[in-house]
Amino acid sequence: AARRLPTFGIKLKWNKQVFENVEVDPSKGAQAFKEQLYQLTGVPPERQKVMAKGLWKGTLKDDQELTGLDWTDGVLVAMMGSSTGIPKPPTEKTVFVEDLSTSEKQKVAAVDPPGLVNLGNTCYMNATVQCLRAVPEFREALEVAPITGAGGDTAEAMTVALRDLYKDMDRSDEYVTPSRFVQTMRLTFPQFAQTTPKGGFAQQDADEFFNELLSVMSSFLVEQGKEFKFEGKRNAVEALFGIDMSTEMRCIESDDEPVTRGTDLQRRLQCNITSDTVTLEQGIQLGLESELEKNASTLGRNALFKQTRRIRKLPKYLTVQENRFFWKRTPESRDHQGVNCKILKSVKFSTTLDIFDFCDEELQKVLKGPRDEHLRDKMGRKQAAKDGDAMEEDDEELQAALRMSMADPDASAGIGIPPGFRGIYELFGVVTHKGRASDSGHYIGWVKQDGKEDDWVCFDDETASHCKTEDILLLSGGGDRSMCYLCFYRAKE
Amino acid sequence: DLKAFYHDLKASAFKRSVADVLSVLGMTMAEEGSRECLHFKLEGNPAELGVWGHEFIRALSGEISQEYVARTTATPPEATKDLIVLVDVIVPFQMKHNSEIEAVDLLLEVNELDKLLDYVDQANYERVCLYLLRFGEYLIALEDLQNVMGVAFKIYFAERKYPDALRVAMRINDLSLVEKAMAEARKKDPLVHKQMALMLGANKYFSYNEDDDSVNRLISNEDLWEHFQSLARELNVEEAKTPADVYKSHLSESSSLVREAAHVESARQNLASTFVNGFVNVGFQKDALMTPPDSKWLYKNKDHCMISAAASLGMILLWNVNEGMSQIDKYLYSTDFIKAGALLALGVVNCGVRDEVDPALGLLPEHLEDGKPDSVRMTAALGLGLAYAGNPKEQVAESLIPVVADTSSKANMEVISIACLALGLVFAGTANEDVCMAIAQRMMEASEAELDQPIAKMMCVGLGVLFLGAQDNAEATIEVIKTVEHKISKFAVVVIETCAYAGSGNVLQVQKLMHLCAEHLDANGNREGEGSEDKEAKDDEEKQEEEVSEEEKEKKKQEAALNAMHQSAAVIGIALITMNESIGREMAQRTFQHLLQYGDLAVRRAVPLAMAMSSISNPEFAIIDVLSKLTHDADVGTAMAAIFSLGLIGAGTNNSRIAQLLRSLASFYAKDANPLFVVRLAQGLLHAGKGLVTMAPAHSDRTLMSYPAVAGILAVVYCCLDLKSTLLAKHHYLMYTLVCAIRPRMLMTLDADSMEPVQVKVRVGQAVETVGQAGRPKTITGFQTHSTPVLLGHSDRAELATDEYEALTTVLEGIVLLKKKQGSTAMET
Repeated sequence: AARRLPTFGIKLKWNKQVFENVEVDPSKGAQAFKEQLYQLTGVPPERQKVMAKGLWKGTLKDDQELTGLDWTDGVLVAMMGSSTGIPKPPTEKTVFVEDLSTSEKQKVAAVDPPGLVNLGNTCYMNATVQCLRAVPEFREALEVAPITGAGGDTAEAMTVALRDLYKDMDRSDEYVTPSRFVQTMRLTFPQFAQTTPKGGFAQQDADEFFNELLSVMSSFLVEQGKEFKFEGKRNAVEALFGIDMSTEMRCIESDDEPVTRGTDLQRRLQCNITSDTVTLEQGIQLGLESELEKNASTLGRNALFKQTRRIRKLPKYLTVQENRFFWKRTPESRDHQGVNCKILKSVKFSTTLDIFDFCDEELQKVLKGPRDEHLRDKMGRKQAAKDGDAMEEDDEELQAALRMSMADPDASAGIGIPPGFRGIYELFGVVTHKGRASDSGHYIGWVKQDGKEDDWVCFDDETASHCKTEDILLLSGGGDRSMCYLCFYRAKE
Repeated sequence: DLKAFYHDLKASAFKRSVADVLSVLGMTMAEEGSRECLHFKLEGNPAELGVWGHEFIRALSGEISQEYVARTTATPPEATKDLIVLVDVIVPFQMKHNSEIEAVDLLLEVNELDKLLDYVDQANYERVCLYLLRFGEYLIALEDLQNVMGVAFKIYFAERKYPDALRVAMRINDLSLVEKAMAEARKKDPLVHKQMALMLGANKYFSYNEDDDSVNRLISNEDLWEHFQSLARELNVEEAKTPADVYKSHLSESSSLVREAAHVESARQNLASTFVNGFVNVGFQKDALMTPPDSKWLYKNKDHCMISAAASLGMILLWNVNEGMSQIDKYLYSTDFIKAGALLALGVVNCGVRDEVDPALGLLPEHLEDGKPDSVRMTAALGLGLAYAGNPKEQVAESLIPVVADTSSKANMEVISIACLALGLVFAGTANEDVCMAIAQRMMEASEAELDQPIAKMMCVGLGVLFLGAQDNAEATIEVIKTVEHKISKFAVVVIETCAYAGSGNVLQVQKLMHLCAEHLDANGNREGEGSEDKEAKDDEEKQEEEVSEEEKEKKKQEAALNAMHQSAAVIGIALITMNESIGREMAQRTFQHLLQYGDLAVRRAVPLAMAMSSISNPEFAIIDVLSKLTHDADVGTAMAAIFSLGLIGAGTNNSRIAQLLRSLASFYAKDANPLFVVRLAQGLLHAGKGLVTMAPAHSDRTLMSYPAVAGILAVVYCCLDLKSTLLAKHHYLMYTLVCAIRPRMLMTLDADSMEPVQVKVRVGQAVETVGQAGRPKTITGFQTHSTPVLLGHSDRAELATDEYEALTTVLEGIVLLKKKQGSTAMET
C-alpha cells in the first residue's frame, strides 16, 4: 500500500499578518514551498526570507531538504520580505559640498566668501577690492593682461598683485591677508603710505583709491577678454566702467556767446549733496550741472558759464560716488586752515537706478524703444482686462512713439549693454563709510550674492557676514551709522 | 561601691538582678570602651530588656556589635553564642517598637541577618526592605550584597510582594530567584504575574521564558511599540519632526547659518541630519525623510554615510519588528553600503524586543561569512549585537566568535572589533567564559599594527562590558590582558576593571583610579622620570622641543593624549563606579572639577564625558554649567566631548536650557564642520524621541541598572575620547549603540484584566528619600496631578491619586497594571 506522505498545517507570520493553518507538503521541496508562499503573500520567491525556529538554520535555501525535519502542526514559520519595488538611486547624482573646490563652494555660496585682513587702516582698500571682485569681466581682464614679468612697471605690478590676491581669495574659505597687495599698492601710490603722527598708516579715501587703482591699471589692462570687447575703447577699465559724456557749455550772462559742446570720459557719476537732496537721482542730476567762470569771447571778460553734462554712451558697470566729504575753510580758526567735513545727510537710493534722465537725446532715443515696449507690455496687460477700444487708441500712440524711437535700431547704448536695455541699473556693491571725516572712521564693503535676489554679504575686513536687501537700504545715511559712499551698479537685462 | 558589692555576692537570683542594675548604670557611668553595660548584662537576666527603656537597648546593641567584632577578630576567635542570645531578645523588641533600622543594623553587625525573617510582619517589612535595598548600595563585596538582597527577597516573598521580590532578584541578577518569584506569582495571582512579566520585559530580562505564550509576549516587549504610539497620540506628538525643526536656526541670532539655504548638499551635515532624524523620530514609525514613499534622502548621503542613513530606518521603526523588517527589506538588494545599513537597521529594529522566531538570528549570520564585503560583515555583526543586547543566546556567540577568531591576513580589524563589541553588548554583565576567551585570545594574537588602529579600542570595550558588575570575577581576565604587549593593554585593563565595579560605589577602586589620573605622563605614555633615557638625553630633547613649531607641539600633545588613553578610561571609570549611588556620585563630581584643573589633556578630555556618564538623561543645572564652559575649551577634542556630553545628559528631555546652549554653539561653530557635526548630534540626542524617551541606565525607581544600556552608552562614550577617528571618521554608525539604552520614560496604566489602557489620575513629583524615616513619610514632593499616560523625569516618582484602582506593583514606571479595588464600584453607584 502506498503510504501518503504527511502534510502539516503551519502558522505563517508575515509582516503584520498571521496565516493560520497553511498546508505544507514537505516532500515537494523548498522551491515549491516558496512558490506557495508567493501565492499567499505576493512576495516573489527570490525576496523571501523564510525562517522557522528549530527546523532549519538561518533562512530557507532553495536546496534545503524539507522532509525529515521536525515538522508539527501549528509550527511557527516566519517570512520576511516585501513585494514593493526596490528603491532606485536618483538619476541625478547628488553633488556634495565636500567634493567641491573652494572656489566652486564660493560660487554656490556654500561657504562665506573670504574677508580681507586689515593691515593698518586698509579698510578703504578692502571694501573697494571686495566690490571690484564681483565684476567678472574685470577678473577676466586681470587674467588676460599681458604680463611680461620684467618688473619695474608699476601698472604691471599692481595688476599681478591684484590678480594673485583674487586667486588667493578663491582658494580660501576663511580670510586672506593681502600683505603683498598692500605692499605693492603702497609702493605704487605713495600717498596711501602716509603715516599718522602716531606712527600707524593713515586712513584713506576709498574713492580716491578706486580712482587711482583704475587709472594705474587702465594702462595695463589692454587685452580683450572672451566675455567683453573693447569696441573702440583703449582698455578694459574704459570698456567696463567708462562713461562717455557729452558736455555743453552755455554762458549764463550772454545768449550771444556760442555754446560749446564736447565729449568727455568719466569713470563714475557724482552725486552732489545739498540741503535739498533727498534721493541719489537728485544728487546725480546736481552733479551733472555745474557753473564755472571763464573767458567769454563775445563779452571779452570772464563770465559765468553753465556746464551741463549728459551721458552719451553707457558702461556695463556704473559707479556712483556720493560727494560726502568736503574741505570746509575756517578762516576764523587759529591756524586759518579748515576742517575735513562729511555730510551725514541721508540720501535715499534704491536697488535699481534709472539713468534715462541723465542721458543725452541720442541715447535717450536708443533707450526709448525698449522702454516703451516695456511700458506697452505693462499697459497691455492692464488693458487686457478692460475694453479693447481704448487699447487700440493707446496702441496707435505707442506705435508712433515706437516708430520714432526705432529710427536707428542698430544704435547701441554702450559696450556690453544687452540689447533691449531700458536704462535700468541694479545695485550689486556698496562701499560705506562710518565716521565724521574721510581720514577717520571705517569703510565696509557690501556685495550682492551671485544668483540671489535678496542675499548680500557684508565684508567688514576679515569677517564676512550675511544680510538682506533691507539691510542695504538702511545704508542711506543720517546719523553715525555706516552710510553709502560708493555705489556699484550693473546694467540689468 | 556597687561593683565591689556585686563581686562579693554569691551567684543567685539577687546577684543577677544587681547585675541588671549595674548594666543600666554602666550605660552612662562606665568608662568609654569598657563595655560594662554589656558585661553586666551577660551576667544578669537576659530577658525582658525592654523594661529598662529604649536608650538602654540602643546602648546595649552598640556594645554587642563592638564586642562581637572584638571577639571574632581575636585569635583564636572566641565564641559569640551568649551575644546572640541577647540579640535574639533585642531584635524582636526593636522590631515591635519602630526601630527596625537598628534591629537590621544589629543583625548585620553580628552576621545574623537571616534571623530578620522571623520578626518581620505586614507592618514593618516595607521599612525593613527599603533599608536593606538602600544599604546594598554601600556594600563593597559582591557576596555581602547577594546576602543582603537574598534576605530582602525572602521577606518580600514571604509577604507575597512578588513584584518587589522580582525586582530584588533582578538586581542581583539571580535567575533562580526570578524563576521562584514568577512560579509563585503564577500560582497565587495571575494578574500580578502579568505585571511581573512586564517588569521582566522592561528590564530586558530575556533569558527567562514561560510556557504561556501570552505571558511571553509581555516579557518580549512585542507590544511596546504600540504602547509608545498610543503615548505619542495622547501627548499629541505624532507629527514627524524634521532636523530643521530641531535645529531652529531661525532662532539663533547670527545669520551665518543662512548658507544652509544654499542648494548644495553637504555630506557631513546631511549625515548629522540623518542621525538627528533617526533619534528624534525613534520608535514613532514614521518620519519626514526616510519612510515616505520614494524618498530620496538616502541618496543625499555620501558613500559610507549611507550605512547610517539606511540604518536610521531601524531607529524610526524601533520595536516594531514585523512591520519594520518588511519596510527595511527593500534596501537589502542595493549597493554594499546601503545593504550594510539595512542589515544594521534590522538589528536596531529588534533591539529591546524578543521575537519568538528570532528573525535577526535567522537573517544576519549568513552575512558574516567570509567573502562578504567588510562593510556588510561589520554591520551584520553590530546588528546582531544590538538585536540581542541583553539576550545572551548561545547561537549569537556561535555566529560571532568565528568572526572574532579570524587571524588570517585579510582579517579586517574593523570587522573584528565591531564583532567584539557586539559580543559585549549581547553578553553584557554575564562574564560568559567562551566569549571572554575568544576576545582575549584574539587580542593576544593581534599584531602591533592591528592594535594600533583606533577601532581596536572597541575590542576592549566589548571585553569590558562583558564583566559589568562582575567585580572580582574579572580578575583572571585582567591578568591575561596584562600580558598583551601593546599600550592598548593598559587601556583594556582599566576598562575591564571599571566595568567590573560599575555601579558598585567601591571607594577603593575609585581611589586607585584617581591615582592613575594624577600621574603625569610623557609623550610615550611612560611615567615621568621613569623612561629609559637619562637626564641629559632629556635635556637635549627639551632643547629640540623649543625649536619645533607650535603646530608640531600641538600635534605631539594630541598624540600624547591618545597614548594616555588609559587615564581617560580611568576618569570615565570613576563615573561608572559611582553612577548608581548619590553620595558617591556627588563626590565624583567634585573630583572631576579637580581633574579639570590639574589633569593632563587625556584626563581633561574625558572629564565632560565622565560627567555625562554619571548623569545620563538627567540634566542637572550644575553639570550643564560646567559642560557649557567646556564647550569653548581651547582643545577642540575637549570642546567636542563637552558638546556631546550636553546631548547625553539631556538625552530625551528636550531641556530648553541645553537646547538654547546648543543653538548658540551651532552658530558659534558654524564654520567649523567637525564641532558643528557634534553639535547636531547633541541636538538629536537632546530631542530624542521628541522628549518621550530616556537613556538613563538606572530604572525601576533607580534600583536597577540595565547592563545593555550601560554597554551601549559606554561604547559611544569611549568613541568620543577620540572623535576624530571614530564618529567623525567612518565609524559614525556606532552612534546606534545608544539604542540599547533607549526606553520610553512613561507611566502607562492598563487594566489588568482587559489589558486596555485606562486613564487614572496620578501624582508625579520629585522623589524623596524615605529610608529610615519614622511613620509614613511622603514619598514625593512638589507633585502635580496628571492623568495617565504621563512622562516621568529622571528623579520623578509617581503615585496613584485615585481610590478606584490599585496598582499591582509598588514602583509606578513603564507599563503598570491596575485592578479595580473591591467595593469601589459600589461607592460609585
